Amino acid sequence: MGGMTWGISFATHEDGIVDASNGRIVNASLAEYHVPVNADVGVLDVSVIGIPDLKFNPVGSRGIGEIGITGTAAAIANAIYNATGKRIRQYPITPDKLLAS
Amino acid sequence: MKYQVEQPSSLVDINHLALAEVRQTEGGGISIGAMARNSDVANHPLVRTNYPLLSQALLSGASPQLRNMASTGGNLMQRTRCYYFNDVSFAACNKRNPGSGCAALEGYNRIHAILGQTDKGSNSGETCIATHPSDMCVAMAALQAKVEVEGRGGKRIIPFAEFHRLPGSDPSRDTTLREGELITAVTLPSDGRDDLGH
Repeated sequence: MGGMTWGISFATHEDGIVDASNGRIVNASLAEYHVPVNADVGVLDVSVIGIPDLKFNPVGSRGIGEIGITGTAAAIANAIYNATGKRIRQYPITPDKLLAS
Repeated sequence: MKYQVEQPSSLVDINHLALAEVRQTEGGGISIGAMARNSDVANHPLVRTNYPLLSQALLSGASPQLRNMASTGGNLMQRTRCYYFNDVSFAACNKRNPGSGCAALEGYNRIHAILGQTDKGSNSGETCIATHPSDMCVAMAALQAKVEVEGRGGKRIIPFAEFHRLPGSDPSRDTTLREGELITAVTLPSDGRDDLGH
């Protein structure tokens, strides 16, 4: 679930912006560097596979962690292409990039 | 002050002033004290019932912790600013350092002003493309609020739309408040309140 949430963030929110004149990060606070809140995420469907991995840990849980981010960001980019016909090749995909393409 | 943009030699604590009241005015509008906290205003029955636009605008800004501390007068007095104002490592900012130019004009300015800005080139002392950060002020302007201020010259009332000024030839000045004046309250008229929302 965390991986999917950060995938949404990767695809549509997060952008560390470096000023070209002196190399400073210009949006170095959470007021300007946006991450998703509940209203951005909506409903996530998390499937439990029901096959514990007891070698990994006593609880049997499996962690794929950040691998979940990769697929989610790509899936959102594909969904935007599917919906608009516009292939944006630079994250985050924001309305101004869609308007300009 | 946290970013060392402002380095005042002295500060006056106005927290003890009795200006936190939200009350009905004789004309059927409301008066919001300058020290009324954003949370208290947003959740006040008179505001929720009569001015949902204001309540919604307040609740869309900042976080609960900030809204619990942020005051009505303080919200108005936020600097019109951008990241280049906040980061003192950028030498050019006409708002922070009058006459120094504008680093934002040739920098990253995706969220900067389209209307009301001054663009005379990045080296001009008049250029400024920053926006005011307040959600509350947008609602106040739409509701045709009035700002009550008091100073050595006595009391006066400033129509909300005239309180914040455009950069014009002096981007370092954000408001029409005169030296020594303090905001005491913001009043909202009764007309047009109904069930406006956004």
